[in-house]
Amino acid sequence: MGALDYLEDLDRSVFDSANQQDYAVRAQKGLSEALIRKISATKNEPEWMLEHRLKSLKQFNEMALPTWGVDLSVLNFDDIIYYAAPDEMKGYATKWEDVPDDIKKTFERLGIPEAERKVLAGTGAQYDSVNAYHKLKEEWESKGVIFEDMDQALKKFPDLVKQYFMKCVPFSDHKFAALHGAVWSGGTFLYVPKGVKVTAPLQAYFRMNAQSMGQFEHTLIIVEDGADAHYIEGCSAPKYGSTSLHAGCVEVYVKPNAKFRYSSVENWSQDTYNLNTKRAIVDADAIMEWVGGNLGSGVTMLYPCSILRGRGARADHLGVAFANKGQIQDTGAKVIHVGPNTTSTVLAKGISKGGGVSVYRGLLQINKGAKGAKSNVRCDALILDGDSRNDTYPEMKIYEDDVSIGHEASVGKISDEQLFYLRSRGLSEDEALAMIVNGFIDPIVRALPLEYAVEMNRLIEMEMEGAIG
Amino acid sequence: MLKQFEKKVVKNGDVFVMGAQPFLELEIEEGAEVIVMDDFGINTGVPSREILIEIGKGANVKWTGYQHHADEVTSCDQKKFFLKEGARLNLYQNILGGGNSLDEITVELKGRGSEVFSQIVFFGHGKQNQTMRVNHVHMGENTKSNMISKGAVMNESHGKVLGYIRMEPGCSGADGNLTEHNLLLSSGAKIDAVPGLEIGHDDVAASHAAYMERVDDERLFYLASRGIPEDDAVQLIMEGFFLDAIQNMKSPELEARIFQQILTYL
Repeated sequence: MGALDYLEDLDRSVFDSANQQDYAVRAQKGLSEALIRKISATKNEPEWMLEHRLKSLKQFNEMALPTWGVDLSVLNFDDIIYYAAPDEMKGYATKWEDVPDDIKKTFERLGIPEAERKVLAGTGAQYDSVNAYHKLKEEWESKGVIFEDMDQALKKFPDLVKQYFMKCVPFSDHKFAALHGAVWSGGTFLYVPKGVKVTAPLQAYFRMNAQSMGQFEHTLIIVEDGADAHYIEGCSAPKYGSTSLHAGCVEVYVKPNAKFRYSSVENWSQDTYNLNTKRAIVDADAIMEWVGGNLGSGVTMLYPCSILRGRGARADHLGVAFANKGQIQDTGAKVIHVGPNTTSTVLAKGISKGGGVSVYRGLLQINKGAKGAKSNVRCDALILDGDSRNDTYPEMKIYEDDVSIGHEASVGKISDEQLFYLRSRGLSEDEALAMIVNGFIDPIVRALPLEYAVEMNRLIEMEMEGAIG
Repeated sequence: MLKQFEKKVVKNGDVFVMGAQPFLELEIEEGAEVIVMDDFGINTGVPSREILIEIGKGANVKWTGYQHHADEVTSCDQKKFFLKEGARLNLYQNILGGGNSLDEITVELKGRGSEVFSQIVFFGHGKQNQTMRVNHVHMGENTKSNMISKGAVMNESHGKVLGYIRMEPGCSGADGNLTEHNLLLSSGAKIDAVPGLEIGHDDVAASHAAYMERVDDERLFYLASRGIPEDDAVQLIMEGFFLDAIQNMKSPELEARIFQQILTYL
């Protein structure tokens, strides 16, 4: 069986089906100080983490919902399970054989083992709140690369975690950052030491399983001076009738001369509110690349952010958002130029179909002192039918005169001429549409590793099925 | 206070000069070819206005606006245009004055085949805080809109230019374009630019672009090597930046006034 064979059986229902689970430590619905203390005690956390959680809870209760973007007032914070762990999970397993069968089955359906064995250097997959499986090839471990479950990392490397934890995205940032600070659980910790170049991509796959539960995984990535790494995150949640909330947090520190690429394909089920915060601090002459695809979830509000702190730092943002029936994909990129001679490029592609709404909401800020900053932002949209819509709100705040900025956007539809041409070559209308859409997002898919690119194309094709009539 | 809108009708061939009414409703007759001159500033004595303009079928309107309040004035100017079938509006708005100003223009392209061209020219100096908002709303079929903004900021002024193209469901064949050009002249000046698109219909074409430029050392050096001192060089570059836009208005009298005003700031 080849590495990509699982894709042939890939079926949307895989992502939308739930396994029967007993939740041993499953917490009650709603948020309270007692719950926070319980989470912290269950995980045996150090005192400072509990304090941080409580401070965040206080902040969460004091803060109002954001007044811009998608209306979030329908979210009922009392009706969400904030922490759950399958009872059969004890800590985490380093060998595939140790993972319980039931969970293995789910991952096998998602194609994780093949991907891990054939292509990837290590895998951390979050199954609900406790990592089911975590492994890093010995080669990288011997060079000092740490690729851990976040809870384990807190136990094994408390000082390192304390130094960086929620320093890039402070809990006071917004209401959902505060919520995350209070109830975060699991996630990935990646540390790449000075000068180490990890050539194969590192992968983690997140999946929500319990009904009405939130997923608040924390991803903390530190890439030291001159190091190089590529991390891939995939997300899918089973489909359920009541609202799930995902408020994860990704913090990335790219040290001088380092290079880091963060790729993610997010495919949550349609009832999920995906309110993720992703941010990177980029030091001198370092490069940060964000590659993202947003396909699932009911409401997505996701704006990966790069803060270009050091001289000559660079950020590249590539993103695709596909909004199908009943979906709002409110995504974009934020780049803040702080250091001189920093450069950034943003390429965003939005596709709307069947009444879906895709929104590009971006920020480009050039701070005073960011002399010689250069930025180019391009966002394109494709609207596939009359019911769908696309909005573009690229905000630019320029507080330095020695800069060079360009922004362009265009919105279009598939012309009858294009379709007619492809049909005259013997393609069906569905196939022709899928081909045009795949061509439209090609620049972004190309930046993904092969098996993700194939999966992304497959997912787009599935979304496109029945596009006509 | 209840808004008391004064009503005026503009007929074919009229050159209508705007007065000092804070609330005004203008009706431009069907098929009329008119020019509206809107000199809004120190001479009017009114800092804020709300104006509704209905442009009749097939009418063609050229609107030249010049906002030149004193530096300490806080002003708010809102204009709403409603275009009927085949109507055409050429709007030239020049914003130089005001300490803290909002100039908002909304153009609703209601009738089939109606068209608008809006050009915003602004220049911020001192500690001015100027906000310009232009909304082009496509409602009818085959409607066209084009917006160009050219703005320069110097000293510690802050210019905010918000341009939106909105395509409502049912505006098949609509075409909207928006370009924002900005020039930063001093290191303390700030620009916020939002070129927004809100597209609710698939059979349309829309695009926008925004650029930030500065007076770079290379250009200054080139001009200096030709014996032109820096102050004059900056003025030349400025004139070059605004020239085509200002000449677009084909109104030599206003053109001269605007250039003169800008020169007093440099």
